[in-house]
Amino acid sequence: MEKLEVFIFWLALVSASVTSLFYVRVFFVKGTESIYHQLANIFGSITLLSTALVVALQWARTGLHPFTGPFSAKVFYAFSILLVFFLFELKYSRRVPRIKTVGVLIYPTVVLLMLLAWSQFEVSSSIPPALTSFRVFVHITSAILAYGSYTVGTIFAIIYLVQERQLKQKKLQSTSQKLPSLETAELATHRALGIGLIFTVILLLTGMFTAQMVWGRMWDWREPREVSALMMLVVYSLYFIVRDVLSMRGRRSSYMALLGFLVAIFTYFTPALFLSLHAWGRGF
Amino acid sequence: MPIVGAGLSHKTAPIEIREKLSISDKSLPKALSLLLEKSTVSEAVILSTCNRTEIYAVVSDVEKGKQEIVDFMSEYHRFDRQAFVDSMYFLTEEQVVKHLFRVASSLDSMVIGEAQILGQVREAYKIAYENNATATILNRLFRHAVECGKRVRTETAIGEAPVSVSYAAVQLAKNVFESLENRPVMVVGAGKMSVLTIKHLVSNGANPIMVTNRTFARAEEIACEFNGIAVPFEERFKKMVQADIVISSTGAQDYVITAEDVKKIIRQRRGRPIFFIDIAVPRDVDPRVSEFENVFVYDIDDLKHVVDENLKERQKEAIKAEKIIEEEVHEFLNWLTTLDVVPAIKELTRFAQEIKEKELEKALKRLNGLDSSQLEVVKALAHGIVNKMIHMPIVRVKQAAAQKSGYQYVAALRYLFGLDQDSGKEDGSE
Repeated sequence: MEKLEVFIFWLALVSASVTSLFYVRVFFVKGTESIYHQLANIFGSITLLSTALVVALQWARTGLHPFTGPFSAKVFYAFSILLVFFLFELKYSRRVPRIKTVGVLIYPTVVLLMLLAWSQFEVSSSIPPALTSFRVFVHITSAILAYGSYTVGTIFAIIYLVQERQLKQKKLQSTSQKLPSLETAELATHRALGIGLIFTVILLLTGMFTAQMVWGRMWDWREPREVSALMMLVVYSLYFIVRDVLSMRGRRSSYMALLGFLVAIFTYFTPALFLSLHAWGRGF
Repeated sequence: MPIVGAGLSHKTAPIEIREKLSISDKSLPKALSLLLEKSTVSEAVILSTCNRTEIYAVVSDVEKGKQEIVDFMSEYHRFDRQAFVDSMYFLTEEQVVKHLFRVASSLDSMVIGEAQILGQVREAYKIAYENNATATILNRLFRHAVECGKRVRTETAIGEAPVSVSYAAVQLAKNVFESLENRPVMVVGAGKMSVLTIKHLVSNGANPIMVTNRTFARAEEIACEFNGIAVPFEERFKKMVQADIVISSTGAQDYVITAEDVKKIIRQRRGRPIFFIDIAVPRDVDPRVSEFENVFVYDIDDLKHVVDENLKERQKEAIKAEKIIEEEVHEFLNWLTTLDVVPAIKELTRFAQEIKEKELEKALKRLNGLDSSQLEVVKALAHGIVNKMIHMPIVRVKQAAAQKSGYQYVAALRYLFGLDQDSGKEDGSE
C-alpha cells in the first residue's frame, strides 16, 4: 500500500515534469507542432489522474480524510491546482484553445509543490486527534481548494499583466500569441478568485464553529492565522470591489489579485512564523 | 535520366513577360502533351502562377532538353524566344531539386512564407500526374517537395506572423479579445485601407460594423457593403461606447478622436477594453489616449513596425527552413542515386558475364581435347579475371552512391562501360 502510494506519487511527479517540458517547448519554440501539444495533454492527464489516486490512497488508508500531515496536504494542494485548471480547460478550451498553453506556468508550479511535499514525506495512518472531526475535514479541504483556486487565479493575473504590458509597449513577442488574450486572462482570474473566495468563506465559517466547540470562542484577534485568513478574505473581496463595483477592470484589479496572493502566502506561513493555535497546521 | 528545370519568376522577369508566358490550369493538359512530344522529354510538370512559370522535366539529354523546353515555350505562346530567353534560368539535377523544394517551402516567394505556393505546387503536380505526364522520378520529386513544404511550415514559424498592415491589426486585436466573433466595430472615415481592414475583421466574425464619415452618403455606401450601420459623424462618440474596435482613417488634419472624448467613452464602457487602429496620416487618434487603462492604440507606424519585425522574424525562420531543405534535398538525391545504382550494377554484371560466356565459348571451341581438370582451370581463369575487374568499380560506385553527388559516379559508370547504349529509354511507370 505504502509502496504503491510512493510509486504513484513519483509517477505524478515525473509526468508533471514531462508535461512542463512539453509546455515549455510549445511555448518557446516557434512553429505549430501540434504533437507537443498532444503529448503535453496526455502527460497532463496522467498527472491529474495519478495525483488524484495518491489522494484517494491516503484517504483510504486513514478511512477518515486524506490529511495526515504536510506531505499529504501538499499533494492535495497540487491536486487542487490541477483540478481547478482542468475545469477551466474543460470550460474554455473549445472557444479558447490558447488556454492550454497556460500549462507552461501551472505544471512547473505543481512540480515545485510536489518536490516540497517529497521533502516532507511521511507515511502515517493516524490523523492528529484534533483533526478527526468532519468539520475540520471540511475546514482543511476548503482551505486547500481555496489555495488551489487562488494559485490558478494568480497565474492568470500574471499572464494578464504580461500581455497588457506587451500590448501597451508595442513590443510583441511571438510567445504572446500563444497565451490567452487579455479578455480571457482577465475573465479567468475573476472566475478562479471567485471560487477561491467561496472556499475562503467556508473555511472561515467552519473554523469559527470549530473554535467555538474546541476553544470555547469563535474568534480571537491574537490568533495570527485567524487574523491573516480574514485579511485574505478582505483583500480578495477588495479585488471584487475594485473590479466589479469601481469598474477598474484590468491592470489595477490584476494587481489586487497579486496582493491577495501575497497575503495568502503570508497566511500559509503564519504558524511557522508566530506562536499559533494552528501549530499542527505548520505544514498545511 | 537527368532532371532539368527551366523557367522565369518575379526575380528574373518583369510582369510583362511573365504574364505572356503563364499557362492557366485549364490549358495545362494540352501544354503538357505538347511538351512530351519533344524527343528528349520523358516526364514533365508545369508550374505556372502569377509570379512564375517553371517547367520541370526528365530528359535524356540535358542540353538538347533545355533547347526543346525553350522551343516549347516559344511555340506554345507564339512568342519570340529572344524576348524571354535571357530572363530564364536553367537548372539541372541537384539545383532543380533544391529550387523546387525552396519554391514549395515559399522561400522563393515574393513574400517569404506565404501559404499559397504549396497548394499551387501540389495542384501543378496533380494535373501533370492525372495527364500521365509524370513517372517515377517526378512523382517522387513532387511528392517529396510537398512534404518538404509541409515540414517547413510545421517546424518553423515561417508563415506565422502576419506581414500585412491590415492582417497585423486583426492579429493584435486577437491579443486583446479572444475572438472577434460578434465583436462590434466602428469605422471612422472611409479610406481604402480601412475597407481592407474591415474585410479582415468581418471575415473573422466582427459584427455589427458601424460606419461614420463626414459625408454621410459615403458612410452609408460602405455600411451597405458590409451589412453595417451608418452613423452620422456628429454622433460618433455616442456609438463608439458600444464599439470594441475602432478603425480610423479620415483625411482630417487634427485629431478626430481626442483624449477628452475617449475619457468619457471609457467611463461609460466600465472598464471594458477598447482597441483603436489608427491608419490615418496625419493621425486621427490623440496619442495621449494610449495612456488610459484598457485603451490600446496602434497607429500606422506601430503596425508597420509590427510587420517589419514579423518580416525579420520570417527571415530568421527562413534560415531554419534552408537547413530542412538541405536535408530533404540530400534525402531525395540519395533515393535518386539508389534508383540508378542498383540497375547500373546489375547491368554491369550482366555485361561482364556476357563477355565472359562469349569469350569462353570461342576459346573452348579452339582448345579441343582438354580434360576436365584443365577445363576447370580455363573456366576459373575467365571467371577470375572478369570478376576481379568489375569488383572494385562495383564497390566504389556503391560507396559513392551513399555520398552527396553519387549519381555522377553512377552516370560515369554507365558512360564508361557503354551501359546506356542498348538499354534505351527506361520505362518509369510506378
